[in-house]
Amino acid sequence: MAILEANGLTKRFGGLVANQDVTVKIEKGTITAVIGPNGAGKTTFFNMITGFYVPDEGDILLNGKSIKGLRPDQIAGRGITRTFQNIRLFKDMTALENVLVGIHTRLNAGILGILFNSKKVRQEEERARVEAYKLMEYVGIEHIANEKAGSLPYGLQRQLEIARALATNPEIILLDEPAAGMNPRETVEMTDFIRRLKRELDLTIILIEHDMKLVMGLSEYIHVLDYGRKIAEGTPDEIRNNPAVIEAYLGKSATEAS
Amino acid sequence: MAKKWLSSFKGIPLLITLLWIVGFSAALFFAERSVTAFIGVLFSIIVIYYTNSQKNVKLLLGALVLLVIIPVVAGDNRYYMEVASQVGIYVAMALGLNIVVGFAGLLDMGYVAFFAAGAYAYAIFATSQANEFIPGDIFPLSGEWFWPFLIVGLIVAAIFGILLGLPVLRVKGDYLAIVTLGFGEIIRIIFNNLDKPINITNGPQGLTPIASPELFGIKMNTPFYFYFIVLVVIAFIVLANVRFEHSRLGRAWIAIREDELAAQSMGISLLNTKLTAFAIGASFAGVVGVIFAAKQTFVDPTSFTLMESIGILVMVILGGSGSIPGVVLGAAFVTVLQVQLLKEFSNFLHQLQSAGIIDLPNQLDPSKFQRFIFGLLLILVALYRPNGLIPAKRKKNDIDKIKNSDYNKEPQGILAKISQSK
Repeated sequence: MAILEANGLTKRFGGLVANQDVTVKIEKGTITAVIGPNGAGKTTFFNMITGFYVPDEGDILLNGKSIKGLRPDQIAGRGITRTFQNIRLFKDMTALENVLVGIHTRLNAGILGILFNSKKVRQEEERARVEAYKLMEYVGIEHIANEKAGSLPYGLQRQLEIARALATNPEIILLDEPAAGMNPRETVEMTDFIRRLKRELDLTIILIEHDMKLVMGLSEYIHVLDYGRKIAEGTPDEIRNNPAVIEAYLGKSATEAS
Repeated sequence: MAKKWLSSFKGIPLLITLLWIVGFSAALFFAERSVTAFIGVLFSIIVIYYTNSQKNVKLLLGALVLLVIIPVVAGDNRYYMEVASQVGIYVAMALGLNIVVGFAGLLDMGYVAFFAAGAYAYAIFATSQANEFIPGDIFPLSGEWFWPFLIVGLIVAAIFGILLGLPVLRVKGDYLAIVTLGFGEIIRIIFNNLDKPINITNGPQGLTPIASPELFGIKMNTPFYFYFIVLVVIAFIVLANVRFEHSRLGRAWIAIREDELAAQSMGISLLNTKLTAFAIGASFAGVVGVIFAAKQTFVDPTSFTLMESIGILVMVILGGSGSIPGVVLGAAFVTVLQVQLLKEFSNFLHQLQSAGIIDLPNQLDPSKFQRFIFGLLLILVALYRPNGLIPAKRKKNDIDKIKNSDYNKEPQGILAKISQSK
């Protein structure tokens, strides 16, 4: 059974239809890419899945249950997490604290417990810190645990954002352009890392990416959006040879020439 | 050059701190009514904070100054104790507002409303006012009720905070500032007019005489006692601030301040988290309100104007939004400036005037320049210390402690999946 289903999602902003009747099925434990030219509605699609936008039409099913209309924090609590196109870290906090925020929903400390610094709260905090640090080790950035997140170089910020997302203990992780702004070597590392996430952590990964080499090498299945509609889906090989996709990316003459 | 010096600055040597404390205490003891000496003693707290020494030594020194030196040296001078307890009241309020503005980033311009709620909660029942609407001639309550009413004030203000927060927290930033500003004014106007149809607040006439606190039969009606009451409350509020700052809740507040979208996608509920910030910040103001009412023995709506809210906000921003030592410094600095420095300077000029040395037009009286000096200070701070006098800093985690923790053995969260599959 598909872990995530989007059925006929439509989102309008005034006269602009950002997504129209987009239907996507995601199988558990796969890496799926959502591609399309600039302005095709990929990020809008992500925003609907994660609850930041409520779709005007259609439904979103997680493990067969509708999550449409839930708030973003509720959806995060149900195991869908994301990273952002333009990295959104908590800049004034240390890197470790950023990851700790990801653990937030699994901690129980209440106002009185914190005020009296009860043993339970102290233990919970210690356990959370260990978990956060181990996650940073897993991503390979434990050396920056005490650095201020906002002062980190770009590549590390991307990695930190993923570590923070993993801290929510998700089933599905949505990566919005994870390799944007990276050099070729960093891109290869990121590709390997995403594969490792799938293999070792049993994650379902959905990503938006413009780097075609990365998309074709990494994803098992691809959905193509153009002007808010889904124009194609298939394996990387199928997509590569799909005339509609070529047209969307390169213009009509390109299909005729081939 | 200056930066280099700052980074190599380890702190003030302990010897200098001790000399500072002894020097100014002696000066205050021998030269009574010396403003400089009194401010020197107050600022020894800051000097101690920056001393290069162990935490326990610093705490001990701080306690010594606050609990022994100030009461002993300035204790029989009502005026100094009055100033010191007023400083304390504002420090406590600024620390409460720091949770809302500094940690959670919610610009609250109506904070004084919660202060008013606490003050009126005590004032109504500690005067004969409550007889107006509660049958049976049982009021005013005696001064012993002051202590439970600290809790009552806390709860009343927290409820006000939640009631305000529910509708208001849907708006952000500048809009939130405007809406809370409106709320603060509404509360003041309600208190001003709630003398009819049922007389609850006695309207513009205010409430008096409010019973002074009593403990074991001692009537605590001098600034000397209030100084200690305020100290205890500040200790509690500082402790709460410190505990919250590095807790699950504090992190959620700061996460929301830094980036609401990212915080939500980490599973943080915006409304709940903001409401707790509002309620906790408000409850501190409520406690302080009860003390204020008891100390003044008189409350009326003019004590809770918009200027008060702005004044407290200035303290937070001047000292360093989100920084606990910064906010304490900011509040102390502004209050001392407000109640002492300008007044003293005024008096000094008046003396010169009556001696015929200068001719001072009434309009140039320094105590009338309060707002002007506030404004100037804010501009200077914005230009040269945009993050406040003592900017907020996140505590670094002890990595060795994490590495050596017993919890390393059992994998947590998502990483537990790896060990399962292996």
